[in-house]
Amino acid sequence: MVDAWNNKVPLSAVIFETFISIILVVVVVLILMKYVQRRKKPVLYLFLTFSSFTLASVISTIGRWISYLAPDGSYLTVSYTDLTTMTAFLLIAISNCFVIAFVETVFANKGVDFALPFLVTNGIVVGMSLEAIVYWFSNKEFGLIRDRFYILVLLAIISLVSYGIMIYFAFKESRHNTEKLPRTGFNLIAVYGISVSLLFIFFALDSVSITLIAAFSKGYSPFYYLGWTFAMIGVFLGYLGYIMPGWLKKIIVKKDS
Amino acid sequence: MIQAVYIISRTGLPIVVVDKGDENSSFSDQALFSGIMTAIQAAMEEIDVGTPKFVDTRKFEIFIELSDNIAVALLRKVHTDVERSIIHEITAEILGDISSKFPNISDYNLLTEEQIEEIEHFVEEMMKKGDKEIAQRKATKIVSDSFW
Repeated sequence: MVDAWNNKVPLSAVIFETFISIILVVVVVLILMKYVQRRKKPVLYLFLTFSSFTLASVISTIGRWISYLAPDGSYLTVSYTDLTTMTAFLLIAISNCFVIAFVETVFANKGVDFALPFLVTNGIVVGMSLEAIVYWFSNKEFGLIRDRFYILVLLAIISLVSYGIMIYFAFKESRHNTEKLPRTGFNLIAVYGISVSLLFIFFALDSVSITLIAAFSKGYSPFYYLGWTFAMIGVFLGYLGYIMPGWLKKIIVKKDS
Repeated sequence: MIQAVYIISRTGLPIVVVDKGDENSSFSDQALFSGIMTAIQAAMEEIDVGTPKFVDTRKFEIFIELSDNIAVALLRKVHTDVERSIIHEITAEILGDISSKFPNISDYNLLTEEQIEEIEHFVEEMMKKGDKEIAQRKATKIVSDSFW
C-alpha cells in the first residue's frame, strides 16, 4: 500500500496530462473569443468554468513534470505532486461553482436558493483544500493526498451532482426542441457533462484499484488513462456543443432541410 | 406565469377576460383597463407616433397585438428581456388563433353564453400552452443568443 502511494509518475501520465492541458488552453481561448464577441453572462460563466478547470489541469501537469524529472527519491521528501494536485482540487471546486452559475442562469432560473447548497459544499472543499495547501508548507513530505483522501471523495461527489444537474437540464431541453440545431447543441452539452462525470468516476476507480487490485497497486491504472481520455472527448464535445463551429452548423442545417 | 388575457373590441370594450391573478376582478375594472389600453393606443395613432405593442407598468408587462376587429392584451409580471420576445410571439399567436377560430368575435353583442365560455376555455388553454412554451424556449433562446 505504501509503495502504491509512493510510486513515481510514469512518462505516459505526464504526456497525457500535458496533451489535455494544451487542448484545454485552446478551448479556453475559443470561449474567450466568443465572450468578447457576445458579452453574455452564460459565456462568461462557461469561460470561468473552463478557465478554472484548465488551470487545475495545467498546475497538475506541472506537478507531474517536476515529480517525473526529480532525482530518484527526492520527490518523496518534497512532494510537489501533492501540492499541485491539492491546488487542482481547489480549482475544480471553484470551477464547479461556475458550472452551477451557468446552470442557474440558463436552465433553472430559481435564483440564489437553487445555487446556495452547491456553492456551500464547493466552498467546504475549497476551505479543506486551502487548509491542506497551507499544511504542505510546514510538512512537504509525500502523503498529503493520501492523508486527506476524503477531500477527493467529497469533490468527486459534488462534481458528479453539479454536472448531473447540467446533464438532466440539457437532455430535457433537447427533448423539447423540434429544431435540429438546438437539439444537437443540447445533446452535445449533455454528453460533455457525462464525459466530465466519467473523468471523476474513473479517477475514483483508479484510487480504489490501487488498494483492491494487485496488478494496479503501483497506481496510474487503466482507469487513470480512461478518465483523461473521457476528459479529452468531453472537452471536444463541449467545444462542439457550446461554440458550435460553422462547419458543424452547416452539417446540422443541411441534414435538417 | 401569464397573469391575464384580455380580448378587447376596437371600441375599447372587453369581450372576454381570463384573469388568473384576480378571478374576482369586477367588470368595471376590466372595462376601465380595456378602455385605457384602447385610449392610449388611439391617442398614439392619432398623433402618428405608432401603435404601442408593449407597456411596462413596473408591476406588470402588457403585450398587445391588434387585428382590424379585436385586440389581445396579455398581462405578465415583470420578467427578463429574453422572455419578452417570446411573449410577444405568444401574444401574436393568441390573436391569430382567436381570429381564425372565432371569425365573428368582433360582433360581441351577438355572442351567446356558450360561445363566450368556449372562448374563455380556449384562452385558458392558450395561457397554459404559453406558460409551457416560455419555460421550454427560454433556455434555448439564452444559449442561442449567447453561443450559437
